[in-house]
Amino acid sequence: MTKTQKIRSKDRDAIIQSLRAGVVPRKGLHHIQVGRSNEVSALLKDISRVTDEGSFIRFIIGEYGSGKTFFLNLIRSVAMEQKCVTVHADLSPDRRLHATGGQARLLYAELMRNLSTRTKPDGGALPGVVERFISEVLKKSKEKNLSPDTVIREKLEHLTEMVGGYDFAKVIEAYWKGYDTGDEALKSDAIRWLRGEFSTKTDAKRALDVRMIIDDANFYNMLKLMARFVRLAGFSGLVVCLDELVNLYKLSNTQARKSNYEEILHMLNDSLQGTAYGLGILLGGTPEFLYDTRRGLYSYEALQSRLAENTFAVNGLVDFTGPIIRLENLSPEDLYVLLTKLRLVFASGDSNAYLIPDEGLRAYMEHCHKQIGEAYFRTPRNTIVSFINLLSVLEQNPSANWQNLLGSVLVDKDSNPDFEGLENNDIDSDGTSLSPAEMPTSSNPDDDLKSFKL
Amino acid sequence: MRSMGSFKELLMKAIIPLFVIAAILYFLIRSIRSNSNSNADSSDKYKQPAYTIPEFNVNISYGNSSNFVESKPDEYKWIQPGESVVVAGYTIPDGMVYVGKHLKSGSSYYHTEDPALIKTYLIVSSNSPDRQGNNMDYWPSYSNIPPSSRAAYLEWLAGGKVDPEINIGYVFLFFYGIERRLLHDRKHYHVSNEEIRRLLDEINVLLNIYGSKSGSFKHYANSLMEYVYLSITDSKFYDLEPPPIKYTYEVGPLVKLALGQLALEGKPLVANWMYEYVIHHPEMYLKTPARRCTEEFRKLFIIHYNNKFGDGIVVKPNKTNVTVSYRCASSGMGEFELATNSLNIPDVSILKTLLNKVKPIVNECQDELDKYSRWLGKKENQENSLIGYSFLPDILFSTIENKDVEEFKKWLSGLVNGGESAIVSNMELIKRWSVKNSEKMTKKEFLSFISFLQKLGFGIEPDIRFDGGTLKAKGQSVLFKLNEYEEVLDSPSSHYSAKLVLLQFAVAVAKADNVIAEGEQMMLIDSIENTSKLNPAEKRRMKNSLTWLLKSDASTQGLKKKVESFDQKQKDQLADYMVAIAGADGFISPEEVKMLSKLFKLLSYDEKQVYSSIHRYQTDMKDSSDELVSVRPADSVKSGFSIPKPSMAYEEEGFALDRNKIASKIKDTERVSQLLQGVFAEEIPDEPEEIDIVGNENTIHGLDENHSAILFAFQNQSLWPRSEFEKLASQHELMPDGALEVINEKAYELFDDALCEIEDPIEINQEILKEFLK
Repeated sequence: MTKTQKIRSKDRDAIIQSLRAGVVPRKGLHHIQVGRSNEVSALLKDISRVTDEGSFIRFIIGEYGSGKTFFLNLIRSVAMEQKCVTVHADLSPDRRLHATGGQARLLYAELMRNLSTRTKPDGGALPGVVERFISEVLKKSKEKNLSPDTVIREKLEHLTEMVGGYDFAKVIEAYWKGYDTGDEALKSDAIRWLRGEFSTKTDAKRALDVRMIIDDANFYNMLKLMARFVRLAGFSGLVVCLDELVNLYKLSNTQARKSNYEEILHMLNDSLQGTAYGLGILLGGTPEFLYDTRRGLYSYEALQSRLAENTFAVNGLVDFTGPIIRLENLSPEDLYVLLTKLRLVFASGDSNAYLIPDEGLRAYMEHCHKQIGEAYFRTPRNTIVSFINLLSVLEQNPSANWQNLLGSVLVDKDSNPDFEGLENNDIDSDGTSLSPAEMPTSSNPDDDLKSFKL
Repeated sequence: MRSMGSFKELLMKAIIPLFVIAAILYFLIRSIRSNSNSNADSSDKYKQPAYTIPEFNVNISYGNSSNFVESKPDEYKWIQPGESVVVAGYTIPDGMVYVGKHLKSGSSYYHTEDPALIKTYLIVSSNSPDRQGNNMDYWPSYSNIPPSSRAAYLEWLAGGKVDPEINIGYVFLFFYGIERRLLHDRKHYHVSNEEIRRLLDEINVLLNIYGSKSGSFKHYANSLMEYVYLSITDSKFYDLEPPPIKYTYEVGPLVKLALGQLALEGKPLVANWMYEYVIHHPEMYLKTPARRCTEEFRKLFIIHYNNKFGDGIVVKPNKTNVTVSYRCASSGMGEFELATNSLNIPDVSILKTLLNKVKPIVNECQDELDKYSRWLGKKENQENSLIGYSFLPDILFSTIENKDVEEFKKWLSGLVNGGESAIVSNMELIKRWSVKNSEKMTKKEFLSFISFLQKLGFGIEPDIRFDGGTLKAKGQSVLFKLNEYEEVLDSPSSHYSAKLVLLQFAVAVAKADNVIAEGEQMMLIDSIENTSKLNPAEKRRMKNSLTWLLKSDASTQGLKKKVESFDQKQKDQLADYMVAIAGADGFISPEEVKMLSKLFKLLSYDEKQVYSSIHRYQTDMKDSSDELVSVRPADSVKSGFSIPKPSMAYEEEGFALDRNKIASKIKDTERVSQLLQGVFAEEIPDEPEEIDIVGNENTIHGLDENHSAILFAFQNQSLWPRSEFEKLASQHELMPDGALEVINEKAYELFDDALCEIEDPIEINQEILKEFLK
């Protein structure tokens, strides 16, 4: 830990604001990452594989509160930093890997809406990526004195060999045409198509003169296509983050569940055989999603055998090249280190500017423990929110002393939405209300702030 | 009249009490006599004379011949054994009788004539011998009995003294003579050792014939022999052979003397004499086992006595001395005392402390022999069968030499074939052991089989005593050698039972995927080896139990019941242990997960708990493998069952922070910070070819002219509405989003921050722009 490292005020503010709101920050995560160096290092290698036209698939398995979402976000921001394009979405009853009722297309659409790049890390970067591609095309057409259409076709030629590639190329061309002719509607249709927002082929044909649309059947193929495309646009690869896979586990229809697992198997095979280019997939789930032999991944024989651990990795040997990354449950010690990190963030990296001494951290934890028991470190969201608030007060009132404030800090218990009914997962079916980067929701986010009183 | 009357009254008053006193005396004497006779065989119609009436035995001789006037030698004759004599036409073939006219009795009080003397001149009614002894007196004396009785006596003597039906009174009459010869005559004259031997032999012969008919005779005969034996010996009493067992409830004189002499000489009371002591002591109640299995009891007592007291108990001589006397059966003789009485040999047999010291041993011996005795008590059982031996205490078992036992042992050794253990078919075992049902051994049969094996130095698993089942014909068992230097186990300790339950659960898990991986087996064995709470014998047994569990198709039935008594902590341990076993081969298969779920349910865990436990196990494994992170102190290293720490620990212990863990977390966090710094840190623009391009006035930092132009345009305006910017872009033949993407990407690359947010309106970060245009 380089304590002298300065933390940019932008990162600092982003971190503090997000945490205060009870969500995982999207920026500056590396300032508050605690431990897990092996896991991070494994993923760093994965991402560099993607930038080298390789592929990976990782199952990030952890219990509720173990920081899966945080971890996925961290990896996502690492990927963006490495010039990857990222897409992310939470699975839900309306968003699955495989479906016949449009749920897979909805998942695709959600992913595309959340498409992010380093310059646009909060999603909505799809037009930018397309335009960047076309900019390259224009540059080249100028240099070689060719028409942009020709260059587009030339560049996208090898995409056409892939499923949907021909129409994909056509849509990109349509975007260019829309730009060229000032046809905003055409541009917008092209983006809508790329986002999987066309639900019928007739509409698509009429709007873009293409025969196919992105639907349930070609979900994964389109992802692979997108992975190739972003490379052509000058990015180094595509990283897909799918969280809340427990929703597949919750599918009550055996066949539906199996089909979804088959889709995962498909991805896994591609990754192991190296047939996916520049595509990394992260799947976040809970232990029961993995191990349950009736409904989890272990219920699917072919998948289970491929997920088998390295049999030589026993007695303390660990193989991080296997597809499963297990996140350890949080311990009080993890939380303690996190608090020191947050203190450092507040002090902008200056250890002389700490607002609270080590002793205060301990006392704060003990205070939380008294209030909500071991939940204070198992599901630490509220512990963190209250801590941020405490530090804010200390910062704004230099005369205040932490001992006096501590007694008035109230911490609420967090609950695990995984074990509540399925209804909870429907909230963002309109695709707008929730960002997948948010942590599991508690019933009333405002409570977190209310609980803090002076 | 009045005076006469009053005299009469007075007389009456005096006479009546006299009568009363006389009557009381009469009944008293009678009752004493009848009491002393009650020892006699009740079938014996003829009442034996009372021999011991101390109150009235005032003038008896104490061997002091001063006031004794001997008969003249020519008035009687002692017929030597082997000589014959003819009396009233009866030829008495083997002598041993006094014959003559007069023989003064040894005791002058009751008789002047010795009862044993056959007076040759008295009438004998040879034609009506009273063989029944109907006319025999209380104290028979040849002189006083009727002629018909004399005839019966002489007839019996002439017949060789063998008629078993003869009245016991005649036997006593003959015995009186031997008594006189052995005690009285030997005191006053020389009696050869040869003759003494012959006489003692004769008593033995009589005992054999009449001993069982009259307890009284048996008692006298035995006592006389012992007395004579003691009086002629010139060696130490404790060097003598103990007398043959008699079930009298008193400690015999020889035993007393032997023990007393040992005590007197400060020597330990040796086991064989102590054995005589305990079996005869009136306060020592011997139960059936001691009486039924006398020889086994004797051996066992001696072994235990020596084990406990070494050579024997050493007692301080007490003040009470042993006095040995013989009160004669013959009314013509008194009581004789042994010369050794003057040696002051202490009578230690009366010491309560001595009795209390050996009582526990006796009880122990009886308890140990109880099963064997009961088995012997059943008619259908034969003493020498192997099953019988199985009930013998181990110590005794090792002393028996029996061909069948040897053979059985050879057979067992053959099965194990030089190794430590072997898997054998139950059918084979059942065949060798006599059982009622060839399909299985009953609990009883199995127990005796186990016990027999144990005596031969073998153990078997499953063992019904160690929570195993019975032996069924189809199936296998593990036969294993016991180590003679290890403790002999008869029942499981609580640790053993608990550990066995763990093992049963663990084996169920290990077998779930039908493959018992080497890693799993190793871990199971290690977990037995590393248990500090089991002794070597228990470990040996448990390892064999493990072999059996792994081999058998034992189901998980019944396991639920076994864990009912487990507290939550034990359950948590068990749960973690099972998961560790499942993962010991580096992989938890779906079958193992299924089995774990099933077993977790038995432990009444929530279904989800199993997945959490597996997960925790996996992450713990990972954690402990990381050498950079593993800074746990040595004392927290898993011991015993090598079970990961239960995660619930915090709840129990309240608030606690592990400083070592924090240190390792901080270290790990430093590592991850460095890793991430490599990704997120600001890049240093050191690419020379791009710097070349900077030389061109129209381009900035390697951006092309069009993009550079936009940057220049930004200089004039810091806030751009979207529509305005789109125009700007199209002026420079650029697509708006694409252009911003490229510019921002460059900004990130160079300054680690974006130039503008892609929003409407677009706001330009002037600082970055200045950097760009430097």
